[in-house]
Amino acid sequence: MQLNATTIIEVFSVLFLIYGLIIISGYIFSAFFSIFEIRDYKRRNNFQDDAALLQSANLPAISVLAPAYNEEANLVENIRSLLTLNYPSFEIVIINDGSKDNSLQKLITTFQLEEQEPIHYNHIATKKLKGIYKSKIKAYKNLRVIDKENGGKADALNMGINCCIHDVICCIDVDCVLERNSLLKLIRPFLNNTKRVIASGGIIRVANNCIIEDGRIIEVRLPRTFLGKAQILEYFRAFLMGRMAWSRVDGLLLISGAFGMFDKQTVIEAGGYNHNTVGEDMELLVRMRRVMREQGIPYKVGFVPDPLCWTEVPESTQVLRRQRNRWARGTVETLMLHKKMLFNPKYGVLGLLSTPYWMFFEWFAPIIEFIGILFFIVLMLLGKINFQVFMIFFIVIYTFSILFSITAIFFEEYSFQQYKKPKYMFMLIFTALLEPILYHPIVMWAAVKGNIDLIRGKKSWGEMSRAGLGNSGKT
Amino acid sequence: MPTLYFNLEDWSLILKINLILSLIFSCIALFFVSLVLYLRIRKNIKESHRKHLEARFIDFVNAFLFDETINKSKALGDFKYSYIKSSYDHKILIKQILIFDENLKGESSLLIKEIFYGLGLYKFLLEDLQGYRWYYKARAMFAFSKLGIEVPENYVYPLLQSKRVELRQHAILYFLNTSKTDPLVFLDNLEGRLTLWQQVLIENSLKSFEVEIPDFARWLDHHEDSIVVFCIKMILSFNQFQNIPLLVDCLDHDAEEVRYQAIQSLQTMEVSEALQLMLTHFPEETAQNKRSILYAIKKMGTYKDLQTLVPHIHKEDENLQVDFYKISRCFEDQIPVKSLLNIETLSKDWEDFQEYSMQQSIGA
Repeated sequence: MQLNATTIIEVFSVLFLIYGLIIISGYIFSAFFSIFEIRDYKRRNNFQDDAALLQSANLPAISVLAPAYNEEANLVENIRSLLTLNYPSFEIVIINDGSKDNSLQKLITTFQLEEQEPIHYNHIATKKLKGIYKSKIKAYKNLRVIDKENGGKADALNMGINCCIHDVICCIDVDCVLERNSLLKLIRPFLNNTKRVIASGGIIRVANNCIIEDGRIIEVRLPRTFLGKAQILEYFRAFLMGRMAWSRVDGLLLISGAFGMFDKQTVIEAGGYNHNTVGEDMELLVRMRRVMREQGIPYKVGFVPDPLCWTEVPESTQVLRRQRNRWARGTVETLMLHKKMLFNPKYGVLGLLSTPYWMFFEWFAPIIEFIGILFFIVLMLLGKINFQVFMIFFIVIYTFSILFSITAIFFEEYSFQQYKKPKYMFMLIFTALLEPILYHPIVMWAAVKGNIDLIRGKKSWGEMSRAGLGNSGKT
Repeated sequence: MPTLYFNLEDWSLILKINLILSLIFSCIALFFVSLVLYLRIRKNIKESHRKHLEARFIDFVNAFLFDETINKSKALGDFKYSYIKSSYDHKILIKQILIFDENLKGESSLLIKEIFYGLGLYKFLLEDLQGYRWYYKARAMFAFSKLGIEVPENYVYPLLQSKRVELRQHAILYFLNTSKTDPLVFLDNLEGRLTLWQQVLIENSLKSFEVEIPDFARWLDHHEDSIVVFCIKMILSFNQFQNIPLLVDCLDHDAEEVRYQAIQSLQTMEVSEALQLMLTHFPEETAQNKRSILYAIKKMGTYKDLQTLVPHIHKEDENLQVDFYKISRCFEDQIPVKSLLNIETLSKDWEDFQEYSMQQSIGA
């Protein structure tokens, strides 16, 4: 019996070590690639002139699509902020996705909207259109409001694609705070490439507790809560390390739904957003890339690391769990929908690197971790393992987690240094010490729960209440 | 029950590896914490040094420009040996020179260039240009082109064909900004696509150009389609109406993007004589160009022009039907579009509409 238990522990330990080494290699790989990518980005953009862009009549016009569902509280303010974006030619298309509140009426009154003839293309099938509105006031001539039956975010964006007039679309979350030059920066990959650019994405930053005036970030601050600060670290890791690295090897599978730019024609050819998944943003990009690859068309996906879009992250455990549950389901759904790509050399980097990475690191990682914890607990309860063994495994995971977060803080310091006050850096380092114990288990469990919910057939987004950024940073 | 003691010698290999890994991770984490602190301190020191040097340089430039009593060559030498110690100092001063040059004209601008040479910044940048690092070359090209300072052409010509788009771009800007007579001569030898970004930068430079804008017709038969597209845009942008016949010829070009741009430009210039040719080409055109022709009719044509296209818009061309519907509403007084075509059932109605349209044209 003693021999069997020892053997089990040994086998488990070896497996654990192998998996750990794979994870560590993956993170080292992403750290190296992203540091080179950030360095090159900085070098490339040292001597660029945005002013030249603003004066040009030859820039592609952009349709900014912003779905809104029950956003009455902040919608008007957010639209006003969007209308002041720096770009020579753009339209703002707000898609009211059958809101139950008074959003539409408020928009009609504030912007003096009048109904237009409901002419639109039928590129993608959507729920029924109720009306198209345009403002009578010249100052708001760039604004259009689409009213439709409720069908979810993906359906609303598809309706936006059907109704918008320009060839480049920028899909955003209406409650995000965009930097004034964000469109100019995000369009760059479309301009400066000899290949067809199908999409470009940017880094999403955490806006909680930042000082915001007239829809602009005036002062960058750390969130007040531990959950908020932990998510800053998480966003550093995901964007500055993860996506920068994937961008370097042209293996990016996700452009955040909060702020992404797409070539409309390619989106239409790929069939638009899929409303049968809760991870519609990831699924769209994967499908677009797959279509391009299958058609043999050379293409590129751009990524801009400048801080362009600021969003509110959940600061309550309940909302955070719902969000991560949905992200986990979205990831699994996308990987299942495109399982043909997994380990398939026909899809190049996507098939051999990106999708396997997402499967092992994003889908399986929390499950394996959860099983590992359960295994340890069972062994401990049965008295098959002693405290020292448990501690040594715990310490190796803990130190690696800290190392990963500290590296991400270093990347931020090396690249954009948004958190100017030195105390913020110390607070983030302190957060990195606590995060593996206090924060990580929450998101791990949410991801595991997401998998369970998916097996049970749960399809909903889950209520995502937000405190709103209107009062951020005000004391 | 397995018993593991805290005596390291008794630990299994796996546990020892884990312990070593923990120590390595902790050390690297500590190293990165130190690096973060170092970067922050270094940045602050550099920032403070930059501010100090900039302040000294501004004082120096003011004296150099406006104090006629100073010995200029001595002042240059003194400043150079007192303040320029590192490559970072050079970079700070080059940025300052560029700012001054942008804001000053005439004699003051010449004096700024004198400072540029006198402080050894020209030599510094020329070395960058001869080096192998692309981003140093790009920086040098940027500064030379902004200041309009010429360098031996053999340093710059190869960069026009560089694989790095940034170098190509800066080389283009250099030729634009330093040319006295023929700013676009580099287009003759340019290989590869002219990206939209490069087109925007060239256009922007040309707008502030003091010599005569070249005739863009010269490159309308260039083998690179993106250059032809750019020239068509510029013919419109700089109102070179004398080239309209050549633009009309571009409607027969092999490349779709060239024809598209020609349609767009002719439409904006309201060259109604070109419309007949566009209508003739309509059946063979791509979907995007068909759409452009429809909108050209909206701007320069009549309902009859629109009617001639009805047989060529097929039942499955739903998007074109929507465009047709939108445009035909501009001619509502000539045809009751809304009562004939229901937007909700447009594709279903289309064949009936085609028949109606045919009868109308026979009747007419």
